[in-house]
Amino acid sequence: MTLLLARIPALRLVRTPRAWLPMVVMTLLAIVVALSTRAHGTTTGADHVMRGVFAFLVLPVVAYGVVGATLGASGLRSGIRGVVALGAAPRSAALASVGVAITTAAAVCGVLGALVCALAHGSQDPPLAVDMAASFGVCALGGGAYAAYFSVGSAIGRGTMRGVFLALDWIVGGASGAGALIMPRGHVTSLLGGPLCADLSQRTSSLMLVALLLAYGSLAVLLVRRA
Amino acid sequence: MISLTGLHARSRGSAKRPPSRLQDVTFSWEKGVLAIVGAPADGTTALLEVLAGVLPIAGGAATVAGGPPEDARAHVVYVPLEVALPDPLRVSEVCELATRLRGEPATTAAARLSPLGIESLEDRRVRSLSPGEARAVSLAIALTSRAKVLLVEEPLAGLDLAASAKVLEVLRARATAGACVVATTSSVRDATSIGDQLGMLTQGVFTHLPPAVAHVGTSGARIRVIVSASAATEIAPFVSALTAESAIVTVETATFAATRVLHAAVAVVVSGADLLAVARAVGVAAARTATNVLSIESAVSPLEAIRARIALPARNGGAP
Repeated sequence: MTLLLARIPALRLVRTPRAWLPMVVMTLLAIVVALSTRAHGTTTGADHVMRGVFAFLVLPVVAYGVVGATLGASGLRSGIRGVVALGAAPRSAALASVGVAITTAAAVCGVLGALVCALAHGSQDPPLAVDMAASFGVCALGGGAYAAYFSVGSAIGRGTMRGVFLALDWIVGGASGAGALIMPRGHVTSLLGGPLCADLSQRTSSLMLVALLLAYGSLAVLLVRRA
Repeated sequence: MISLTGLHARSRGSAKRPPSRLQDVTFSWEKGVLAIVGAPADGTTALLEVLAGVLPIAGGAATVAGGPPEDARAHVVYVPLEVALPDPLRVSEVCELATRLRGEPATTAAARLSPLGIESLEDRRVRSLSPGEARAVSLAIALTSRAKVLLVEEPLAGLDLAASAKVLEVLRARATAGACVVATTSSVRDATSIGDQLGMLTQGVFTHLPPAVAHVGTSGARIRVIVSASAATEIAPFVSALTAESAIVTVETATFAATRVLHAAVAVVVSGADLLAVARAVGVAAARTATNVLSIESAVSPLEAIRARIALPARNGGAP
């Protein structure tokens, strides 16, 4: 049943090219920055780009765009209303939609992270294959956690809280307080070579991202009691 | 299949719909068509949303198909005035999804859309449908589903004469087959056309509506007969025959201005003391003069007049 319901957000993503705009813009930005860094001959180009513009801007905005394109601009409730009207249980429909958003964001962010890593790779960076694999893993995990986080924003009201959640991540997630622990930003930046998040090890940050993905994903589904 | 006891609920409304509330609503309905007259502000939409498990209950109890409304989704189809269909799909895909979600036997999209004659919409994207087309698709899917409970808001709104007749025919067939149908409408005429029994919601308060109160005003029974003709003079023999009938007290003619028919028509409104006797007399007059009668509708009292009539005896402590 969940697979049947997952077809709706997947088709929404595929059949709404206009919703790809933020993803396309961010992809182009990431590629331009990566090529520019390489052209300048930076020896740790991949490290520089990944913990810089990619962690700060590209990853969250791409995940934000994927969530909007899969769940619909009017929010999770509005996005599943059509299938609920046809007889689906609201939470099953929400689970399918959030699952597709998380999976897609993880795949897109992972591939994009590996691509940018390859384009910006410098001589002092770790071996290319290792670096690309690590970038793929971290960006996929980060993208999934961000998608779950934005899904919660999308499940509140008419979906406008998604934008508020993006702003909160920039304001609170970038700070060193306890609030950063429950935002994806600090952990993603830490795993991509930036400063540690609240002095947690990178291993702990990766576990935190998994926990945030599961917690936010579950919360988004639980928030949709009725459609 | 539906049982409400002392139900209270509150709907906050939306940009297109006023807020409303239900107060101490009690009724049960097993099979057939229960037509409830009232506006969304009176709680008609809120009532259907409660039964569909969309709106939470603030007090009292509601059971649908033997359980709470939220657990009865597989047995219920709900067609609101503002329908929601899965926006990324084509109409044919929506039909297929509806079939699979309810575990019904596979059927073609054309078969599901045919009761309303909208098979041409099969390949259209949901996003490209007008609100009226989307509603027709939703209505067709609901009417052809095997759900035990059908909840329909304004079932005849925006439909032409032919489509209205088809919807009525299919709704009646579903009801006869044992389905429990609750339809809400702000049109007393639509309610009397559809319902086996009538109810009324006034500012959230539900009352049963005796058919005599809806059909018959203080001056007796009235029937509106729509006759195919381009001018009132063409139906002079029919009018003469009606006047000769003893059951008929008054006969009025007027050009039929409704947009439901494509060809010219004249409306004849006849009244008398007894509804059945008036109806019989109309039939006799039409047969005698070979008049092409397009439709016969029982003229109904205006909603406010019905409310006033029901409220008056209630204030005096009696039944309507």
